Amino acid sequence: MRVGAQDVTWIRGGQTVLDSVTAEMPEGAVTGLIGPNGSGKTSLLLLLAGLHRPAHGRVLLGEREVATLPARERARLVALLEQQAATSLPLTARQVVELGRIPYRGRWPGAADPAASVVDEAMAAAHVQELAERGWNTLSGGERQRVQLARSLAQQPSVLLLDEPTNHLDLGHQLDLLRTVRRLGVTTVAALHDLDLAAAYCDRLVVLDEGRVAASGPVEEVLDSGLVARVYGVTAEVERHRSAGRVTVVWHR
Amino acid sequence: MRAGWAPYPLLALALAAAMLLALGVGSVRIDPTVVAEVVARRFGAGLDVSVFDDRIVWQLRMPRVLGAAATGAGLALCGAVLQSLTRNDLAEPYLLGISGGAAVGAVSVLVLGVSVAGVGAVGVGAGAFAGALGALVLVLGLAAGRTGALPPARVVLAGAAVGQICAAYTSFIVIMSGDHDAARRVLNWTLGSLAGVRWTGAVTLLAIVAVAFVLIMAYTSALDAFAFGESAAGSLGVNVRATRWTLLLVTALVTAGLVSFTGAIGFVGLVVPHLVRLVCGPTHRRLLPLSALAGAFLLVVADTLARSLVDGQEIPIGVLTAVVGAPVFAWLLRREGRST
Repeated sequence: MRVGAQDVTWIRGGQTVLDSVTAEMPEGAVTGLIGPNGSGKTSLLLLLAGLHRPAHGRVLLGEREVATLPARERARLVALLEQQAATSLPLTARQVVELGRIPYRGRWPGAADPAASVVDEAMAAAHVQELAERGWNTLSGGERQRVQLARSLAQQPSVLLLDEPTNHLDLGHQLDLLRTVRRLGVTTVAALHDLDLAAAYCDRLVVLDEGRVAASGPVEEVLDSGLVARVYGVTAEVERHRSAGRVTVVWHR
Repeated sequence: MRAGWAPYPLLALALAAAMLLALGVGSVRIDPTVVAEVVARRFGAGLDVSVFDDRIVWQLRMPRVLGAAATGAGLALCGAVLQSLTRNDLAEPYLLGISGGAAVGAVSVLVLGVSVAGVGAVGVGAGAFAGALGALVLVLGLAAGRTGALPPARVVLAGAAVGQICAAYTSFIVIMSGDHDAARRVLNWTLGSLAGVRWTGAVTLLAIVAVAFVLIMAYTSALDAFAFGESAAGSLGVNVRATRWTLLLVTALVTAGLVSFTGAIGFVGLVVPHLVRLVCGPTHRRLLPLSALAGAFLLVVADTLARSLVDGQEIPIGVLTAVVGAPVFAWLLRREGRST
Protein backbone atom coordinates (compact mmCIF):
# COMPACT_ATOMS: atom_id res chain seq x y z
CA MET A 1 0.00 0.00 0.00
CA ARG A 2 1.47 3.34 -1.00
CA VAL A 3 1.84 6.18 1.47
CA GLY A 4 1.78 9.82 0.51
CA ALA A 5 2.14 13.15 2.26
CA GLN A 6 0.61 16.03 0.34
CA ASP A 7 1.64 19.53 1.32
CA VAL A 8 1.65 18.59 5.01
CA THR A 9 2.24 21.30 7.60
CA TRP A 10 2.25 20.54 11.32
CA ILE A 11 2.56 23.09 14.10
CA ARG A 12 3.33 21.81 17.57
CA GLY A 13 3.45 24.12 20.57
CA GLY A 14 3.68 27.17 18.29
CA GLN A 15 6.65 25.65 16.43
CA THR A 16 6.34 24.66 12.78
CA VAL A 17 7.85 21.18 12.81
CA LEU A 18 6.82 20.23 9.27
CA ASP A 19 6.46 22.80 6.55
CA SER A 20 4.61 21.90 3.31
CA VAL A 21 6.06 18.40 3.15
CA THR A 22 5.16 16.45 0.04
CA ALA A 23 6.57 12.96 -0.30
CA GLU A 24 5.61 9.76 -2.05
CA MET A 25 6.46 6.34 -0.61
CA PRO A 26 5.59 3.74 -3.24
CA GLU A 27 3.99 0.37 -2.56
CA GLY A 28 6.43 -2.36 -1.53
CA ALA A 29 9.42 -0.03 -1.42
CA VAL A 30 11.66 0.75 1.53
CA THR A 31 11.87 4.52 1.86
CA GLY A 32 14.54 6.01 4.08
CA LEU A 33 13.80 9.19 5.99
CA ILE A 34 17.07 11.01 6.61
CA GLY A 35 18.06 14.38 7.97
CA PRO A 36 19.77 15.94 10.98
CA ASN A 37 18.39 15.84 14.53
CA GLY A 38 15.24 17.90 14.82
CA SER A 39 14.60 17.93 11.08
CA GLY A 40 11.12 16.43 11.53
CA LYS A 41 11.66 12.71 10.87
CA THR A 42 9.77 11.48 13.95
CA SER A 43 7.05 14.10 13.44
CA LEU A 44 6.48 12.94 9.87
CA LEU A 45 6.27 9.30 11.03
CA LEU A 46 3.68 10.23 13.70
CA LEU A 47 1.55 11.92 11.03
CA LEU A 48 1.95 9.00 8.62
CA ALA A 49 0.80 6.74 11.48
CA GLY A 50 -2.34 8.87 11.82
CA LEU A 51 -1.61 9.68 15.47
CA HIS A 52 -1.95 13.42 14.92
CA ARG A 53 -3.73 15.58 12.40
CA PRO A 54 -1.67 17.98 10.33
CA ALA A 55 -2.63 21.65 10.48
CA HIS A 56 -2.70 21.64 6.71
CA GLY A 57 -2.40 19.06 3.94
CA ARG A 58 -3.26 15.36 3.77
CA VAL A 59 -1.67 12.01 4.52
CA LEU A 60 -2.86 9.24 2.20
CA LEU A 61 -2.80 5.50 2.79
CA GLY A 62 -3.51 4.00 -0.60
CA GLU A 63 -6.34 6.21 -1.82
CA ARG A 64 -7.75 7.01 1.63
CA GLU A 65 -6.92 9.82 3.98
CA VAL A 66 -5.46 8.38 7.17
CA ALA A 67 -7.26 10.91 9.41
CA THR A 68 -10.64 9.54 8.28
CA LEU A 69 -9.86 5.89 9.07
CA PRO A 70 -11.35 4.34 12.23
CA ALA A 71 -8.57 3.75 14.78
CA ARG A 72 -8.80 -0.04 14.76
CA GLU A 73 -8.78 -0.27 10.99
CA ARG A 74 -5.80 2.08 10.85
CA ALA A 75 -3.94 -0.10 13.37
CA ARG A 76 -4.43 -3.13 11.12
CA LEU A 77 -2.88 -1.24 8.21
CA VAL A 78 -0.04 0.70 9.83
CA ALA A 79 2.42 -0.42 12.51
CA LEU A 80 4.83 1.97 14.20
CA LEU A 81 8.13 1.02 15.80
CA GLU A 82 8.93 3.87 18.16
CA GLN A 83 12.28 5.04 19.42
CA GLN A 84 13.03 3.79 22.93
CA ALA A 85 9.82 2.08 23.88
CA ALA A 86 9.67 1.95 27.67
CA THR A 87 7.42 0.43 30.31
CA SER A 88 7.67 -0.27 34.02
CA LEU A 89 5.22 -3.18 33.81
CA PRO A 90 6.55 -6.72 34.35
CA LEU A 91 5.56 -7.93 30.86
CA THR A 92 7.21 -10.90 29.19
CA ALA A 93 8.60 -10.53 25.66
CA ARG A 94 5.77 -12.69 24.34
CA GLN A 95 3.15 -10.52 26.06
CA VAL A 96 4.71 -7.47 24.39
CA VAL A 97 4.45 -9.14 20.98
CA GLU A 98 0.84 -10.10 21.75
CA LEU A 99 0.01 -6.38 22.11
CA GLY A 100 0.26 -6.33 18.32
CA ARG A 101 -2.91 -8.44 18.15
CA ILE A 102 -5.02 -5.83 19.99
CA PRO A 103 -6.40 -4.33 16.74
CA TYR A 104 -7.77 -7.79 15.89
CA ARG A 105 -9.15 -8.66 19.35
CA GLY A 106 -12.80 -8.32 20.26
CA ARG A 107 -13.81 -5.66 22.73
CA TRP A 108 -14.64 -8.18 25.47
CA PRO A 109 -12.03 -10.50 26.93
CA GLY A 110 -12.35 -14.22 26.42
CA ALA A 111 -12.78 -14.59 22.68
CA ALA A 112 -9.54 -16.19 21.50
CA ASP A 113 -7.63 -14.55 18.66
CA PRO A 114 -8.25 -16.81 15.64
CA ALA A 115 -4.75 -16.04 14.36
CA ALA A 116 -2.68 -16.72 17.49
CA SER A 117 -0.01 -18.36 15.33
CA VAL A 118 0.70 -14.90 13.89
CA VAL A 119 2.47 -14.10 17.17
CA ASP A 120 4.79 -17.11 16.74
CA GLU A 121 5.50 -16.21 13.14
CA ALA A 122 6.22 -12.60 14.03
CA MET A 123 8.61 -13.69 16.77
CA ALA A 124 10.35 -16.06 14.38
CA ALA A 125 10.70 -13.35 11.74
CA ALA A 126 12.31 -10.99 14.26
CA HIS A 127 14.46 -13.78 15.74
CA VAL A 128 13.12 -13.40 19.28
CA GLN A 129 11.53 -16.82 19.93
CA GLU A 130 14.16 -17.70 22.51
CA LEU A 131 13.31 -14.50 24.44
CA ALA A 132 9.58 -15.35 24.73
CA GLU A 133 9.42 -15.90 28.49
CA ARG A 134 12.04 -13.29 29.42
CA GLY A 135 10.84 -10.21 31.26
CA TRP A 136 10.89 -6.98 29.25
CA ASN A 137 13.01 -5.21 31.87
CA THR A 138 15.68 -7.94 31.66
CA LEU A 139 16.20 -7.45 27.90
CA SER A 140 19.06 -5.49 26.38
CA GLY A 141 18.36 -2.45 24.21
CA GLY A 142 18.86 -4.47 21.05
CA GLU A 143 16.64 -7.30 22.24
CA ARG A 144 13.91 -4.81 23.11
CA GLN A 145 14.12 -3.32 19.65
CA ARG A 146 13.71 -6.75 18.04
CA VAL A 147 10.80 -7.63 20.35
CA GLN A 148 9.09 -4.36 19.35
CA LEU A 149 9.70 -5.22 15.70
CA ALA A 150 8.00 -8.58 16.32
CA ARG A 151 5.10 -6.68 17.94
CA SER A 152 4.85 -4.49 14.82
CA LEU A 153 4.85 -7.56 12.59
CA ALA A 154 2.12 -9.19 14.71
CA GLN A 155 -0.10 -6.31 13.58
CA GLN A 156 0.23 -7.76 10.03
CA PRO A 157 0.60 -4.25 8.67
CA SER A 158 0.51 -3.13 5.06
CA VAL A 159 2.73 -0.22 6.03
CA LEU A 160 5.60 -0.41 8.49
CA LEU A 161 6.91 2.82 10.05
CA LEU A 162 10.27 2.54 11.80
CA ASP A 163 11.77 5.32 13.92
CA GLU A 164 15.52 4.75 14.22
CA PRO A 165 15.06 0.96 14.18
CA THR A 166 18.80 0.30 14.33
CA ASN A 167 19.41 2.31 17.50
CA HIS A 168 20.98 0.14 20.21
CA LEU A 169 21.75 -2.63 17.74
CA ASP A 170 25.25 -3.91 17.02
CA LEU A 171 26.31 -3.93 13.39
CA GLY A 172 25.30 -7.56 12.81
CA HIS A 173 21.83 -7.02 14.25
CA GLN A 174 21.44 -3.74 12.35
CA LEU A 175 22.01 -5.55 9.08
CA ASP A 176 19.79 -8.48 10.17
CA LEU A 177 16.93 -6.19 11.09
CA LEU A 178 17.03 -4.19 7.87
CA ARG A 179 17.39 -7.39 5.83
CA THR A 180 14.38 -8.87 7.63
CA VAL A 181 12.35 -5.77 6.90
CA ARG A 182 13.38 -5.80 3.23
CA ARG A 183 12.39 -9.43 2.84
CA LEU A 184 8.87 -8.75 4.14
CA GLY A 185 8.09 -6.79 1.01
CA VAL A 186 5.87 -4.48 3.07
CA THR A 187 5.80 -0.78 2.25
CA THR A 188 8.28 0.61 4.76
CA VAL A 189 9.27 4.09 5.87
CA ALA A 190 12.33 4.14 8.13
CA ALA A 191 13.93 7.12 9.82
CA LEU A 192 17.66 6.41 9.78
CA HIS A 193 20.74 8.22 10.99
CA ASP A 194 23.36 6.10 9.28
CA LEU A 195 23.61 7.25 5.65
CA ASP A 196 25.54 4.14 4.67
CA LEU A 197 22.81 1.85 5.98
CA ALA A 198 20.18 4.02 4.33
CA ALA A 199 22.03 3.79 1.03
CA ALA A 200 22.40 0.03 1.34
CA TYR A 201 18.86 -0.94 2.33
CA CYS A 202 16.53 1.72 0.98
CA ASP A 203 15.08 2.03 -2.49
CA ARG A 204 14.30 5.67 -2.07
CA LEU A 205 15.17 8.51 0.27
CA VAL A 206 13.27 11.49 1.60
CA VAL A 207 15.68 14.06 3.01
CA LEU A 208 14.28 16.43 5.62
CA ASP A 209 15.94 19.64 6.75
CA GLU A 210 14.31 21.97 9.27
CA GLY A 211 10.88 20.53 8.56
CA ARG A 212 11.14 20.87 4.78
CA VAL A 213 11.91 18.29 2.10
CA ALA A 214 15.45 18.98 0.90
CA ALA A 215 15.41 16.20 -1.68
CA SER A 216 13.57 12.98 -2.48
CA GLY A 217 13.79 10.17 -5.00
CA PRO A 218 15.79 7.00 -5.71
CA VAL A 219 18.90 6.66 -3.52
CA GLU A 220 21.41 7.10 -6.34
CA GLU A 221 19.76 10.27 -7.58
CA VAL A 222 19.39 11.87 -4.17
CA LEU A 223 22.50 11.02 -2.25
CA ASP A 224 25.59 12.94 -3.28
CA SER A 225 28.34 14.93 -1.60
CA GLY A 226 26.52 18.19 -2.30
CA LEU A 227 23.47 17.04 -0.34
CA VAL A 228 25.52 15.81 2.61
CA ALA A 229 27.37 19.13 2.73
CA ARG A 230 24.18 21.16 2.42
CA VAL A 231 22.03 19.27 4.93
CA TYR A 232 24.52 17.95 7.46
CA GLY A 233 27.35 20.45 6.98
CA VAL A 234 29.79 17.59 6.54
CA THR A 235 32.31 17.01 3.76
CA ALA A 236 31.87 13.52 2.33
CA GLU A 237 32.61 11.42 -0.69
CA VAL A 238 29.58 9.60 -2.01
CA GLU A 239 30.34 6.99 -4.63
CA ARG A 240 29.43 3.57 -5.87
CA HIS A 241 31.69 1.10 -4.12
CA ARG A 242 33.23 -1.35 -6.60
CA SER A 243 33.11 -4.58 -4.57
CA ALA A 244 30.02 -3.79 -2.46
CA GLY A 245 28.07 -2.73 -5.55
CA ARG A 246 26.22 0.02 -3.73
CA VAL A 247 26.49 3.68 -2.89
CA THR A 248 28.74 4.35 0.09
CA VAL A 249 29.36 7.49 2.11
CA VAL A 250 32.82 8.27 3.39
CA TRP A 251 32.99 11.41 5.50
CA HIS A 252 36.04 13.53 6.17
CA ARG A 253 35.60 16.37 8.62
CA MET B 1 0.94 -16.86 31.60
CA ARG B 2 2.05 -16.75 35.20
CA ALA B 3 0.21 -18.60 37.97
CA GLY B 4 -2.41 -19.99 35.52
CA TRP B 5 -6.07 -19.94 36.49
CA ALA B 6 -5.57 -21.02 40.10
CA PRO B 7 -5.88 -17.50 41.61
CA TYR B 8 -9.55 -17.21 40.63
CA PRO B 9 -10.98 -20.13 42.67
CA LEU B 10 -8.44 -19.56 45.45
CA LEU B 11 -9.42 -15.92 45.91
CA ALA B 12 -13.13 -16.64 45.50
CA LEU B 13 -12.94 -19.33 48.19
CA ALA B 14 -10.92 -17.08 50.50
CA LEU B 15 -13.50 -14.30 50.02
CA ALA B 16 -16.43 -16.64 50.73
CA ALA B 17 -14.72 -18.02 53.84
CA ALA B 18 -13.86 -14.52 55.08
CA MET B 19 -17.47 -13.38 54.60
CA LEU B 20 -18.84 -16.42 56.43
CA LEU B 21 -16.45 -15.82 59.29
CA ALA B 22 -17.20 -12.09 59.32
CA LEU B 23 -20.94 -12.78 59.74
CA GLY B 24 -20.27 -14.74 62.91
CA VAL B 25 -17.76 -12.39 64.52
CA GLY B 26 -18.75 -9.41 66.64
CA SER B 27 -20.04 -8.41 70.04
CA VAL B 28 -22.25 -11.50 69.81
CA ARG B 29 -20.42 -14.58 68.47
CA ILE B 30 -22.48 -16.79 66.23
CA ASP B 31 -21.40 -20.25 65.16
CA PRO B 32 -20.50 -20.55 61.42
CA THR B 33 -23.01 -23.40 60.98
CA VAL B 34 -25.77 -21.15 62.37
CA VAL B 35 -24.59 -18.37 60.05
CA ALA B 36 -24.79 -20.78 57.11
CA GLU B 37 -28.32 -21.81 58.19
CA VAL B 38 -29.50 -18.21 58.43
CA VAL B 39 -28.17 -17.43 54.95
CA ALA B 40 -29.57 -20.67 53.51
CA ARG B 41 -33.01 -19.93 54.98
CA ARG B 42 -33.00 -16.48 53.40
CA PHE B 43 -32.31 -18.15 50.08
CA GLY B 44 -35.33 -20.40 50.48
CA ALA B 45 -34.08 -23.44 52.39
CA GLY B 46 -36.69 -24.60 54.93
CA LEU B 47 -34.59 -24.28 58.08
CA ASP B 48 -35.41 -23.21 61.62
CA VAL B 49 -33.37 -20.29 62.92
CA SER B 50 -34.01 -17.92 65.81
CA VAL B 51 -35.27 -14.42 65.09
CA PHE B 52 -32.32 -13.11 67.10
CA ASP B 53 -29.73 -14.90 64.95
CA ASP B 54 -31.50 -13.81 61.78
CA ARG B 55 -31.58 -10.21 62.90
CA ILE B 56 -27.87 -10.11 63.78
CA VAL B 57 -26.57 -12.07 60.80
CA TRP B 58 -28.92 -10.97 58.05
CA GLN B 59 -30.14 -7.52 59.09
CA LEU B 60 -27.06 -6.09 60.76
CA ARG B 61 -23.92 -7.88 59.62
CA MET B 62 -24.75 -9.04 56.10
CA PRO B 63 -25.16 -5.54 54.60
CA ARG B 64 -21.95 -4.42 56.25
CA VAL B 65 -20.01 -7.44 54.98
CA LEU B 66 -21.42 -7.09 51.46
CA GLY B 67 -20.71 -3.37 51.57
CA ALA B 68 -17.11 -4.07 52.58
CA ALA B 69 -16.69 -6.56 49.74
CA ALA B 70 -18.17 -4.16 47.18
CA THR B 71 -16.12 -1.22 48.44
CA GLY B 72 -12.88 -3.23 48.44
CA ALA B 73 -13.55 -4.56 44.95
CA GLY B 74 -14.42 -1.10 43.66
CA LEU B 75 -11.38 0.61 45.16
CA ALA B 76 -8.96 -2.04 43.89
CA LEU B 77 -10.53 -1.97 40.43
CA CYS B 78 -10.34 1.84 40.19
CA GLY B 79 -6.76 1.82 41.45
CA ALA B 80 -5.71 -0.73 38.85
CA VAL B 81 -7.34 1.25 36.03
CA LEU B 82 -5.87 4.59 37.12
CA GLN B 83 -2.35 3.17 37.53
CA SER B 84 -2.42 1.85 33.97
CA LEU B 85 -4.12 4.89 32.50
CA THR B 86 -1.69 7.41 34.03
CA ARG B 87 1.31 5.03 33.93
CA ASN B 88 1.91 6.11 37.51
CA ASP B 89 2.63 3.50 40.19
CA LEU B 90 1.38 5.84 42.90
CA ALA B 91 -2.01 6.44 41.28
CA GLU B 92 -4.96 5.49 43.49
CA PRO B 93 -8.73 5.96 43.42
CA TYR B 94 -8.59 9.33 45.19
CA LEU B 95 -6.20 10.70 42.54
CA LEU B 96 -8.67 13.21 41.12
CA GLY B 97 -9.19 15.11 44.36
CA ILE B 98 -12.07 12.81 45.28
CA SER B 99 -11.17 12.23 48.93
CA GLY B 100 -10.32 15.90 49.52
CA GLY B 101 -13.52 17.07 47.87
CA ALA B 102 -15.57 14.51 49.75
CA ALA B 103 -13.99 15.66 53.03
CA VAL B 104 -14.94 19.25 52.23
CA GLY B 105 -18.52 18.16 51.67
CA ALA B 106 -18.60 15.96 54.76
CA VAL B 107 -17.06 18.61 57.00
CA SER B 108 -19.44 21.26 55.72
CA VAL B 109 -22.30 19.01 56.79
CA LEU B 110 -20.79 17.71 60.05
CA VAL B 111 -19.58 21.06 61.35
CA LEU B 112 -21.59 23.74 59.59
CA GLY B 113 -24.78 21.73 59.01
CA VAL B 114 -25.37 22.78 55.41
CA SER B 115 -28.93 22.69 54.20
CA VAL B 116 -30.31 23.18 50.74
CA ALA B 117 -33.42 25.28 50.08
CA GLY B 118 -36.40 23.02 49.51
CA VAL B 119 -34.53 19.85 50.51
CA GLY B 120 -33.63 20.57 54.10
CA ALA B 121 -30.60 19.33 55.98
CA VAL B 122 -28.11 17.44 53.84
CA GLY B 123 -26.78 14.05 54.96
CA VAL B 124 -23.06 13.46 55.33
CA GLY B 125 -23.10 11.01 52.42
CA ALA B 126 -24.81 13.44 50.06
CA GLY B 127 -22.46 16.23 51.14
CA ALA B 128 -19.44 14.03 50.53
CA PHE B 129 -20.70 12.98 47.11
CA ALA B 130 -21.35 16.59 46.08
CA GLY B 131 -17.92 17.65 47.36
CA ALA B 132 -16.22 14.84 45.45
CA LEU B 133 -17.98 15.81 42.22
CA GLY B 134 -17.03 19.45 42.74
CA ALA B 135 -13.37 18.55 43.17
CA LEU B 136 -13.53 16.26 40.13
CA VAL B 137 -14.88 19.05 37.92
CA LEU B 138 -12.17 21.39 39.21
CA VAL B 139 -9.39 18.83 38.56
CA LEU B 140 -10.56 17.99 35.06
CA GLY B 141 -11.00 21.68 34.27
CA LEU B 142 -7.44 22.38 35.36
CA ALA B 143 -5.95 19.35 33.62
CA ALA B 144 -7.73 19.40 30.26
CA GLY B 145 -5.90 21.20 27.49
CA ARG B 146 -7.60 23.58 25.07
CA THR B 147 -7.95 20.77 22.53
CA GLY B 148 -9.59 18.44 25.06
CA ALA B 149 -6.49 16.31 25.59
CA LEU B 150 -6.03 15.00 29.12
CA PRO B 151 -2.30 14.50 29.76
CA PRO B 152 -1.91 12.18 32.77
CA ALA B 153 0.95 14.17 34.30
CA ARG B 154 -1.31 17.25 34.44
CA VAL B 155 -4.17 15.20 35.87
CA VAL B 156 -1.91 14.04 38.72
CA LEU B 157 -0.67 17.57 39.44
CA ALA B 158 -4.15 19.12 39.24
CA GLY B 159 -5.40 16.42 41.63
CA ALA B 160 -2.62 17.25 44.08
CA ALA B 161 -3.35 20.99 43.89
CA VAL B 162 -7.09 20.61 44.44
CA GLY B 163 -6.41 18.11 47.23
CA GLN B 164 -4.26 20.68 49.03
CA ILE B 165 -6.92 23.37 48.75
CA CYS B 166 -9.54 20.99 50.09
CA ALA B 167 -7.30 19.91 52.99
CA ALA B 168 -6.69 23.56 53.89
CA TYR B 169 -10.43 24.28 53.91
CA THR B 170 -11.19 21.17 55.98
CA SER B 171 -8.55 21.95 58.62
CA PHE B 172 -9.62 25.57 58.78
CA ILE B 173 -13.28 24.76 59.38
CA VAL B 174 -12.51 22.09 61.99
CA ILE B 175 -10.07 24.26 63.93
CA MET B 176 -12.20 27.42 63.78
CA SER B 177 -15.39 25.66 64.86
CA GLY B 178 -13.89 25.06 68.32
CA ASP B 179 -16.18 22.05 68.67
CA HIS B 180 -14.12 19.07 69.90
CA ASP B 181 -16.80 16.57 69.15
CA ALA B 182 -16.98 17.81 65.56
CA ALA B 183 -13.22 17.42 65.22
CA ARG B 184 -13.45 13.81 66.39
CA ARG B 185 -16.35 13.03 64.03
CA VAL B 186 -14.47 14.55 61.10
CA LEU B 187 -11.33 12.55 61.89
CA ASN B 188 -13.42 9.39 62.14
CA TRP B 189 -15.06 10.10 58.85
CA THR B 190 -11.80 10.77 57.00
CA LEU B 191 -10.37 7.45 58.18
CA GLY B 192 -13.34 5.60 56.78
CA SER B 193 -15.89 3.25 58.31
CA LEU B 194 -18.46 0.74 57.13
CA ALA B 195 -20.48 1.02 60.35
CA GLY B 196 -23.23 3.01 58.69
CA VAL B 197 -23.90 0.61 55.81
CA ARG B 198 -27.44 -0.87 55.88
CA TRP B 199 -29.18 -2.94 53.22
CA THR B 200 -30.01 -0.01 50.90
CA GLY B 201 -26.38 1.11 51.12
CA ALA B 202 -25.04 -2.38 50.50
CA VAL B 203 -27.26 -2.91 47.47
CA THR B 204 -26.30 0.50 46.08
CA LEU B 205 -22.60 -0.21 46.58
CA LEU B 206 -22.91 -3.63 44.92
CA ALA B 207 -24.80 -2.13 41.99
CA ILE B 208 -22.25 0.68 41.50
CA VAL B 209 -19.34 -1.77 41.50
CA ALA B 210 -21.08 -4.34 39.29
CA VAL B 211 -21.93 -1.74 36.62
CA ALA B 212 -18.43 -0.27 36.79
CA PHE B 213 -16.85 -3.71 36.49
CA VAL B 214 -18.77 -4.53 33.31
CA LEU B 215 -17.97 -1.11 31.80
CA ILE B 216 -14.30 -1.34 32.67
CA MET B 217 -13.89 -4.91 31.42
CA ALA B 218 -14.75 -3.59 27.95
CA TYR B 219 -11.45 -1.68 28.11
CA THR B 220 -9.04 -4.51 29.00
CA SER B 221 -7.33 -4.48 25.60
CA ALA B 222 -7.19 -0.70 25.52
CA LEU B 223 -5.55 -0.64 28.96
CA ASP B 224 -3.03 -3.28 27.86
CA ALA B 225 -2.19 -1.04 24.91
CA PHE B 226 -1.13 1.81 27.23
CA ALA B 227 1.85 -0.26 28.48
CA PHE B 228 4.25 1.63 26.21
CA GLY B 229 2.59 5.02 26.37
CA GLU B 230 0.01 6.95 24.42
CA SER B 231 1.57 6.90 20.94
CA ALA B 232 1.93 3.14 21.23
CA ALA B 233 -1.68 2.84 22.38
CA GLY B 234 -2.80 5.06 19.50
CA SER B 235 -0.89 3.04 16.95
CA LEU B 236 -2.59 -0.12 18.31
CA GLY B 237 -5.96 1.34 17.41
CA VAL B 238 -6.94 2.79 20.79
CA ASN B 239 -8.76 6.11 20.77
CA VAL B 240 -6.51 7.59 23.45
CA ARG B 241 -8.53 10.69 24.29
CA ALA B 242 -11.93 9.01 24.47
CA THR B 243 -10.54 6.12 26.52
CA ARG B 244 -8.92 8.48 29.01
CA TRP B 245 -12.01 10.61 29.49
CA THR B 246 -14.31 7.61 29.81
CA LEU B 247 -12.18 5.69 32.28
CA LEU B 248 -11.25 8.73 34.38
CA LEU B 249 -14.91 9.69 34.67
CA VAL B 250 -16.09 6.15 35.43
CA THR B 251 -13.47 5.55 38.12
CA ALA B 252 -14.02 9.00 39.63
CA LEU B 253 -17.80 8.55 39.83
CA VAL B 254 -17.42 5.09 41.34
CA THR B 255 -14.95 6.40 43.92
CA ALA B 256 -17.21 9.35 44.74
CA GLY B 257 -20.08 6.89 45.22
CA LEU B 258 -18.03 4.66 47.51
CA VAL B 259 -16.68 7.60 49.50
CA SER B 260 -20.16 8.92 50.18
CA PHE B 261 -21.03 5.66 51.99
CA THR B 262 -17.78 4.75 53.70
CA GLY B 263 -15.48 7.79 53.81
CA ALA B 264 -12.02 7.60 52.31
CA ILE B 265 -10.44 4.19 52.90
CA GLY B 266 -6.81 4.33 51.92
CA PHE B 267 -4.29 1.73 50.84
CA VAL B 268 -6.62 -0.81 49.16
CA GLY B 269 -6.76 0.94 45.80
CA LEU B 270 -3.06 1.73 45.83
CA VAL B 271 -1.62 -1.60 46.92
CA VAL B 272 -3.95 -4.39 45.82
CA PRO B 273 -3.32 -3.90 42.07
CA HIS B 274 0.43 -4.00 42.70
CA LEU B 275 0.09 -7.20 44.73
CA VAL B 276 -1.93 -8.84 41.97
CA ARG B 277 0.50 -7.66 39.29
CA LEU B 278 3.45 -9.10 41.20
CA VAL B 279 1.79 -12.50 41.51
CA CYS B 280 -0.25 -12.78 38.30
CA GLY B 281 1.34 -10.40 35.79
CA PRO B 282 0.09 -7.12 34.34
CA THR B 283 -2.35 -8.32 31.64
CA HIS B 284 -5.64 -6.57 32.35
CA ARG B 285 -8.07 -9.35 31.55
CA ARG B 286 -6.58 -11.07 34.61
CA LEU B 287 -5.47 -8.06 36.63
CA LEU B 288 -8.89 -6.40 36.84
CA PRO B 289 -11.05 -9.33 38.05
CA LEU B 290 -8.33 -10.59 40.38
CA SER B 291 -7.80 -7.10 41.84
CA ALA B 292 -11.54 -6.84 42.49
CA LEU B 293 -11.57 -10.21 44.29
CA ALA B 294 -8.43 -9.44 46.29
CA GLY B 295 -9.69 -5.97 47.24
CA ALA B 296 -13.01 -7.43 48.40
CA PHE B 297 -11.19 -10.04 50.50
CA LEU B 298 -8.84 -7.50 52.07
CA LEU B 299 -11.62 -5.11 53.03
CA VAL B 300 -13.89 -7.82 54.47
CA VAL B 301 -11.00 -9.01 56.66
CA ALA B 302 -10.03 -5.46 57.64
CA ASP B 303 -13.60 -4.49 58.51
CA THR B 304 -14.08 -7.62 60.60
CA LEU B 305 -10.92 -6.83 62.54
CA ALA B 306 -11.99 -3.18 62.83
CA ARG B 307 -15.17 -4.06 64.69
CA SER B 308 -13.91 -7.02 66.72
CA LEU B 309 -10.32 -6.35 67.84
CA VAL B 310 -11.19 -3.92 70.61
CA ASP B 311 -14.30 -4.52 72.69
CA GLY B 312 -16.87 -1.79 72.49
CA GLN B 313 -14.90 0.40 70.10
CA GLU B 314 -14.21 0.43 66.38
CA ILE B 315 -10.73 0.85 65.03
CA PRO B 316 -10.73 3.07 61.91
CA ILE B 317 -10.64 0.71 58.93
CA GLY B 318 -8.05 2.79 57.07
CA VAL B 319 -5.59 2.03 59.86
CA LEU B 320 -6.22 -1.70 59.49
CA THR B 321 -5.99 -1.85 55.69
CA ALA B 322 -2.53 -0.35 56.05
CA VAL B 323 -1.55 -2.70 58.89
CA VAL B 324 -2.77 -5.79 56.98
CA GLY B 325 -1.62 -4.72 53.53
CA ALA B 326 1.74 -3.06 54.09
CA PRO B 327 3.71 -6.05 55.42
CA VAL B 328 2.42 -8.32 52.64
CA PHE B 329 3.32 -5.67 50.12
CA ALA B 330 6.80 -5.19 51.56
CA TRP B 331 7.41 -8.93 51.51
CA LEU B 332 6.33 -9.27 47.86
CA LEU B 333 8.39 -6.25 46.87
CA ARG B 334 11.50 -7.79 48.44
CA ARG B 335 10.84 -11.11 46.72
CA GLU B 336 10.44 -9.42 43.36
CA GLY B 337 13.57 -7.35 44.01
CA ARG B 338 15.63 -10.50 44.45
CA SER B 339 14.45 -12.11 41.21
CA THR B 340 15.39 -9.20 38.94
